[in-house]
Amino acid sequence: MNPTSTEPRRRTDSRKPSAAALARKIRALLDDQQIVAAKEAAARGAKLFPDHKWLRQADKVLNPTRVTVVPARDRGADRRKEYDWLRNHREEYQGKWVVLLEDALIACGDSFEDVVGRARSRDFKARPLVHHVE
Amino acid sequence: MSENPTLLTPDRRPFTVGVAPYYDSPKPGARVAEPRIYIRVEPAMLGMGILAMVDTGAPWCIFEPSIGRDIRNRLIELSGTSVLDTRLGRFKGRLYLGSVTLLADEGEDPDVETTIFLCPDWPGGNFVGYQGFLDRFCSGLNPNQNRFYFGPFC
Repeated sequence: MNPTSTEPRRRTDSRKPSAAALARKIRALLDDQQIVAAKEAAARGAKLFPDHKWLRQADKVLNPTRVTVVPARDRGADRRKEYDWLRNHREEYQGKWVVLLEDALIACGDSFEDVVGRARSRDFKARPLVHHVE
Repeated sequence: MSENPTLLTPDRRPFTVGVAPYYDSPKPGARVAEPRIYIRVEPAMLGMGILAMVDTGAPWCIFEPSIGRDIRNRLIELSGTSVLDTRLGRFKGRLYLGSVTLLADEGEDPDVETTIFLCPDWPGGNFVGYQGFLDRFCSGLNPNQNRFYFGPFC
């Protein structure tokens, strides 16, 4: 740059950042728990660099948009019964994983993987509750 | 048990379109020092509901490690680790995109695409956060009957 030029100096922060710099910035903002700023930076990154895989992915993950609405699939199931069951059997099943549908115990065991695996082999009128009893 | 899930605004537009029970604690029968709000959600088509605490301070939805191991293959991962600062400490994990469905008793089930934080060492239970989840719909509480009203969705 000509030091005698009268043209105003361009502010460095108005230049388009590189994709790598934006990615680093998003990472730093996330680490610093500045979530709103990270989301904004991710949206900006995806707009400036639509072909950059990580920036595109960051925008997708940090700024989700889709909401689908379906009629309640568990309509008619009385969910209070599951809570009543937990209240009445808490001491008996302390430390266990349980799968409940209303007042019926579907499966119980020491591991989430075990009880969920057993419950998935059956069909239910509504989605059961899986819960670790503490 | 049938209940109208629709609450109306003063100009008669729907304020909520679904209703579900909520609980004060994930430990029914235990003494509760500070009642919270726990709702039933289904993360990432788990096929079952879980109880998750409504936490307006949580930046993401967070699920316990065993649930995380089951659902993570159905999520889209943002490569690289992320950290989460909490009152339980600082945890290193990963961010994912996935669906969390609010399970309604009456009305409509909203299936919300949201950001999920999973950490193999997370000791704090399940949370649904404000940003990216609760800020996507109207909601209201009836504390006399422990009913959580929600929707419509944007």
